[in-house]
Amino acid sequence: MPMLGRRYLTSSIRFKFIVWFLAISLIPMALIGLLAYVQAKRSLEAQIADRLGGAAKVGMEQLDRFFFERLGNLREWADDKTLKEDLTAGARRRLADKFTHWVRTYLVMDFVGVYDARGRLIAMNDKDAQGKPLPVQKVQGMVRSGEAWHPGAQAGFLYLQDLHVSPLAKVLGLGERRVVGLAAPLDFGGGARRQTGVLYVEIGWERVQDLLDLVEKDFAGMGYASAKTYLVGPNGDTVIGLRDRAAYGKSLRRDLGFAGLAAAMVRQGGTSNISVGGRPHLAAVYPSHGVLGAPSLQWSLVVTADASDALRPVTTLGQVTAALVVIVGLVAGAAAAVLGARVARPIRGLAGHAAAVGAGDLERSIVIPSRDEVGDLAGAFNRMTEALRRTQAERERAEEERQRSQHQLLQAEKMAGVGSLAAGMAHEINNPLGGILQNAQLMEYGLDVADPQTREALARHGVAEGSREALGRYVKAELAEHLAAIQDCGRRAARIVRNLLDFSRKSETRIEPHDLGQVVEGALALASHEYDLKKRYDFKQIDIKVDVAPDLPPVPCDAQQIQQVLLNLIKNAAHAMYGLAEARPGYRPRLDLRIARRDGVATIEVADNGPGVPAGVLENIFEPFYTTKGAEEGTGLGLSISKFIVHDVHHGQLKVESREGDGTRFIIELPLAPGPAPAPRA
Amino acid sequence: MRLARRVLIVDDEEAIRRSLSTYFRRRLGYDVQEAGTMEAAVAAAAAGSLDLCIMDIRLGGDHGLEALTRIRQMHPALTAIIFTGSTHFGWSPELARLGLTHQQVLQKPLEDLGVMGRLAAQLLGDPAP
Repeated sequence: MPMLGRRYLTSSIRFKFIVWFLAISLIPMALIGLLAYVQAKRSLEAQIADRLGGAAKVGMEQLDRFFFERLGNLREWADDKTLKEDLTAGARRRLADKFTHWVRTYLVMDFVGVYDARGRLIAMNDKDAQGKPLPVQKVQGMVRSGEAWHPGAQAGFLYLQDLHVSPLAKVLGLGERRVVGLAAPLDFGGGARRQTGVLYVEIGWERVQDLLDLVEKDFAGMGYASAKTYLVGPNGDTVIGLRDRAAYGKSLRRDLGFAGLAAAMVRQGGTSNISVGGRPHLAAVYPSHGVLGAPSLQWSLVVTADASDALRPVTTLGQVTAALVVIVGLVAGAAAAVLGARVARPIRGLAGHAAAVGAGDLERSIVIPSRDEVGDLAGAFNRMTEALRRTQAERERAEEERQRSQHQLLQAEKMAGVGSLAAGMAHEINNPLGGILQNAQLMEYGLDVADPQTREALARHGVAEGSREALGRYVKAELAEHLAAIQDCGRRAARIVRNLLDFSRKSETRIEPHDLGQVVEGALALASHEYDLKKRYDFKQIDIKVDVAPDLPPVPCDAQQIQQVLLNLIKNAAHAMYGLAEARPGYRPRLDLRIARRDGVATIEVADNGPGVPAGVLENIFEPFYTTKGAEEGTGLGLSISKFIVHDVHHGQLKVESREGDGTRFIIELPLAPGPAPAPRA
Repeated sequence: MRLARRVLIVDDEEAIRRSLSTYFRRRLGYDVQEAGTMEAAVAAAAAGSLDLCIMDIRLGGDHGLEALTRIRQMHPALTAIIFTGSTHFGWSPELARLGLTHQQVLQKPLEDLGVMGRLAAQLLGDPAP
């Protein structure tokens, strides 16, 4: 059972449909069919038993009536006047003619005779016996136990003698004849010569059997072809008559295989299911009752019918029902298979879809036109797949992002490595570079013949006054260019190193409280050095104002880095204003540096009255490598590094406000309270 | 005419030391002394008065500040300019203790010797050259 249960659970939907369809359609049908079959069988059995019983009764009553009528004949004959006269007269010849006439008239009697009081046969119908001495029959010898027909008839009663072999027929040379005897009292003579005797009639057994044949024929007419009748004698078992002549004298139970037919039933009558020769039969019994108090024989009529034959309609009904069950089962099974397949198909499609999605194919979607639960399931599935697809796409994007970040991190690490390498190398490079630049400058001084100290030196070395101009021309024509090239290259190298250092310095942070005023002054000083040497931006022409709020406490910062930021802003401002100054005569460049305190932050404003920043540039102004300057003038890293310093190192803000044509204002905000730990040193 | 300013130039890089020396002596008329090591610098400082010291930080090791400290003990009024190629060296509280400001730190390489000359004049309170 558990195995069946598991088998059921692991079976397909189609299989389950088939199981349920069959169960729903076949079980009630089979039950109803079985019930109908049993009921019909029982009813038919009762009906057949009725008919068999009825037939047995009719047959037996016919026999009873037959003997009753013959007894009536006998009584009539016994009162016949001419018979008495002939007997009285001893006219045997006439008697024989009379008896023969009776036999011929009624056909059913084989012998009619008269016995006198002592049991001697005094007259009979046999013509051949005419004139012959009549056989004297000792009647007593013929009397079977309990059938004292001769003395009974002598005493004035009608008697029937049960089936027996006729002694008369033997005497007359007619062989063994089975007969039933009838006896009636008789008197004749009258007066002193009055005699008593017995009128005796024998009825041949064939007559009885003809009657039984008629009963069987009736059955055949009723449709019970297999019906058989058995006339059973007084012992309730021995067959004394039936169409099947071979069964004569045999025992029902012992010889003919009747089982279950009780002797009592044979005597009392009734119906029963019995077995005959191992086959089921229906049997009905009707015992003789006699008619109107007339004597009767203790016979019973047994009628049987083969059940399989008799119940054929019911069997047919059962077979038809079974066939219907099979047909309905087949139809239901086929319908279930088709329906199960139709239900299972979209589910199987979904399962295949799910497997494909599980295997990673997220581009699929399934179309199920039905709007039922399966359709809903498909819809839900599609939405789930869509969600999965989105999640997957997000994950891929995140992964790309992560890889990009990792790449950037690697780049940054590489750059940091370059930076620290550069920092290590810078000192080594800066010294020879300084040597080159300083000595080149001294050479420049030394070759400037207009310079008084050079003149002095020339004089000291004996260069004649007149040769100086020629020397100057020579220098200008032949040497100045190369000297300038040396200086130019040296400066470029210096700038490269400085940029590298700016970059590498990002990781070196020392945050300590500083006076922002001093920091700003330092930045201005650095800027002035720088702008002095770069003659293109004349720093002195800029009107610089510094305004420091009086109550400002020392601000935690890396002074050098903030100076770098300020220097960058100042340089940018100067650069921008210089451009405007060239384009517009009368323009007065102005730079306002304002240090103040506001809401827990210190602010340093760097405001110029330059040309301002166009909106498109403003958006990108803090982007790394974004520059509006030529390649030789800027690296595009200044403001991005500045922003890094303010935001990431100092946890402050670097903001810019600008309108084109209206100057630019950068605002550095530095927290007054020490912020979180600065970015770790690389 | 006042006495020439006395400057001690300490640098182990000869090309730098010599050119600075020439510049201060020839262009600016300073009385220049040179030293390539800490010991030489201390010895030179001990030999006489000094107005200005231009000090490299790395003298075969980070001995510049030590040298300056010792020279300062001999000449408390001495003005100093740190002239360094070191990228690690910046303004620090240590310099503040020596009485130095941001301005007194110059990074190598110097693209214009005039920066050094003007700074020296400014620090010493002399007119710009």
